[in-house]
Amino acid sequence: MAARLIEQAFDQYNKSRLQFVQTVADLASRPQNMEHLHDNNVMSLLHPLLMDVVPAVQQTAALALGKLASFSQQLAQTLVTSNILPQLISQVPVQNRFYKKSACFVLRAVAKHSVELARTVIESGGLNALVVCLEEFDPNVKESAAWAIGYVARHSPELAQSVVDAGAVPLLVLCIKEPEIGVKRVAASALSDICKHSEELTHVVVENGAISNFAALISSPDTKLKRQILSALSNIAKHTLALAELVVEAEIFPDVFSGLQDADDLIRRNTAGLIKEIVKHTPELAQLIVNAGGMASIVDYLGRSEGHVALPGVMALGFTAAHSQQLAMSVIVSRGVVQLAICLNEEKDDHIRGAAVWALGQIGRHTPEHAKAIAMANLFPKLLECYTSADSSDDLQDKARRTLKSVLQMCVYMPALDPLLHEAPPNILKYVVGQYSKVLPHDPQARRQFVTSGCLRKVQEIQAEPGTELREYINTINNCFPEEIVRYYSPGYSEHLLERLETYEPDWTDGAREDWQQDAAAPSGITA
Amino acid sequence: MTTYQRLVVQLDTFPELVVLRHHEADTDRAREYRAAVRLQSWVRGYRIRDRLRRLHQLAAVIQRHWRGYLGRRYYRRLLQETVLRAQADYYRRQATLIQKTWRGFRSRLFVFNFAEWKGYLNFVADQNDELRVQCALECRRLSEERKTVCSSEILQQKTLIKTHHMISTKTIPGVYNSPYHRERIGIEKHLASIRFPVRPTKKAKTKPEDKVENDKSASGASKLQGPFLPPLALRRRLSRRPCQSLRTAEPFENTEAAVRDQRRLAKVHCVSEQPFRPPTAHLLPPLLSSVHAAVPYRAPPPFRETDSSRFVGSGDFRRVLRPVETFDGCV
Repeated sequence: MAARLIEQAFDQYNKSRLQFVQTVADLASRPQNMEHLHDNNVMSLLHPLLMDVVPAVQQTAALALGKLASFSQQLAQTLVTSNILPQLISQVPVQNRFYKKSACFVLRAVAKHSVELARTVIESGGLNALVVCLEEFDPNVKESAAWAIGYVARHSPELAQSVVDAGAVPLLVLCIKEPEIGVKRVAASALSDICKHSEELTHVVVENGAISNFAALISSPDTKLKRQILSALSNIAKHTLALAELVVEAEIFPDVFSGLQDADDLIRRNTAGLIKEIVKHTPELAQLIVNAGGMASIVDYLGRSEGHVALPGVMALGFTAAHSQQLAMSVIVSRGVVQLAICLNEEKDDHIRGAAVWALGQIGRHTPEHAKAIAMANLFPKLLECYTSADSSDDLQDKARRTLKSVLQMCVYMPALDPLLHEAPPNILKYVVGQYSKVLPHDPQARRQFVTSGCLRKVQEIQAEPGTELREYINTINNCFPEEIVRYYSPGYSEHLLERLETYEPDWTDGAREDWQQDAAAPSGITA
Repeated sequence: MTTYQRLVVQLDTFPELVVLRHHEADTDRAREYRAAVRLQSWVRGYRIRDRLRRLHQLAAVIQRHWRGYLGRRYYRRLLQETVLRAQADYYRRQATLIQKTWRGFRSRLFVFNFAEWKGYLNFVADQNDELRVQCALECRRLSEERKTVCSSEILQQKTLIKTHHMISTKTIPGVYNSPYHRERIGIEKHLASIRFPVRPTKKAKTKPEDKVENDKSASGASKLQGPFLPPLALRRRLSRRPCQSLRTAEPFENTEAAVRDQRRLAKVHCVSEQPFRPPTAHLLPPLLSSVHAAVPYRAPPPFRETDSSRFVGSGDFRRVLRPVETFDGCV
């Protein structure tokens, strides 16, 4: 009887603990309850429940802690300062898989906020625990552990290095081969976060054979997995030429282009990012993409995307065109200039406009044919506006100036330079006038056009100190025309003529006066 | 009468006749003298004119022959010169042709080949169109696959949820597995890993006093006042990492630096020190030999390999003009 009472008491205590923990876990799923829970000191209450005898209580307590920590950085900090982590981590190797999963969840929730918290996780020995979890068979545990590792590695190169030193990479690569989609997604995301920091880390990942696994999954229909795979490949390819070649040798190429037309925004952006990283290294790789027809896909993708989604595509075009004039001409042929002009008009964000301006500069700077393509798309006034407008950022102005400088020095298409002559600030005007001084001495048609469109008048009105390049260009231009015309168009010529008129004394002799009178009488004879 | 008789008769009158005749002769002597002189002068003149004319004729003959000779000599020389000039012009034209062809070939080979350039750009345009078509097909296939996969997954999930009560518990072992095995296999495993979809909970009806309390706290999801974000969005915004500016993320000279590095490495790894021989574009070694996905651009083959009917002749080159021997030895 007494035994039954005692057992009843203990049962009740167990049940109430379990109930409390489950309620807290449920409440913690809703963000509006967080503050109240924090005010009620939930952390210190859950701390001893982590080492409870009943496994269900332990696991649910860990789950609740995880949800609390993932809500805000402050709560995570509280968790860390309450010294919960070392106990949690020390229990991991011995407990069953549900506990491991919850523990990994807690670690992930803590590590995702900031660098210091992630470092605390590592210092408490979290990485070893996570690696042990990765070796488990249960896919949910693996997913949790891989997720936590990804969050740890995301913040900084040192953290990623410690993750790699703990030997997580081969296990992550094995995770990719798992049949469950969730595990694959998370492992791909973790590897992507490791690779993005530096080249050495990428080498470690690549040596474990990650690329072939990624390449096999490129054509999977799952959206989130594809996003992560593409992001991982672009992080691998971005560091050096050798890595980019490895990525290309994995034969991803014609299949990857279908990602550019996918319905999902992030897949399109990540594919464009991958292409950008590959194209930027050498002309041969860019040639590869162009020969496979990639430029048209990128241009179509730019037409369909906007904002930050379009940014990698713009940069891919810029990088391709930067290598050689052949590639720049391929970009022009695929209607890249038209699309970039549309981007420049429609985008509001200065980063993307800056990128578009830069890309146009790379396309137009090679030969006069390329500069002509830029001029025909009516881009000079737009670039000038980017340069002179007060609401462009410094970055945008700088890029616009460089683009104008490099493209104008190649442009010999006169009709496009005329509006610039009227509106440009002095440092751009120098290049415009320089181009005129190169073309006008050889082309009579252009000279005629120059005079009739009022540009000669404008050139005369430019003030330049003798000895500067601008003055020399203006002198060259003036030498192409006869002196009378130059004098006629120089400013103040009408005043000069009027002065001459005022000082002029007509010199009439008598005979001439009579003739004049006769001539005055003559018209009636003519009309008769 | 006979002649003798006539003469005897005349003999009588003879001295008178003689005197008469002398008288006649005397009377006409001056006249006859002048006539004789005239006749003689005429005759002399005639003879001399004749002689002079003959001399002129002979001189003319000599001159004629001489002039003919000179003219023929001049003509021969003119002809020689014309032939030499024609030969020189011919060879010069041939040389120009060779030089023109060579210069065109060399500039197309080493400097710039417009036909290949244009062909390449057309090739790029064709590849673009082809890839567009392929990508559209691929996209359609993927979206359909996604739909079927999604729908099959959703269907599976639905059926599982409907039969979730068949999961085996400690007290009531289910029908799908043996109760003596701890591990779950097959359907049991799927039943155990069901994730129930979270339905949005309806707000419970609160009493007026609770309602007042709730209004005071700012945690009601729909009763936020003022310009505050809902907590979920707030959390997301707080945890979002700042976007790196373009300038810091991508150095402007990145491509040039990368190409420079590569060239420097290539110099270090250079094996032979032969002076630079300008290659042609299609003789560059392909960088990635194992990339089957690459579609290389192959220029169309030159006509010598495909169409031998365009050769002009099958024999060797022959000189068109033979050397003219008739001019040798002439002046």
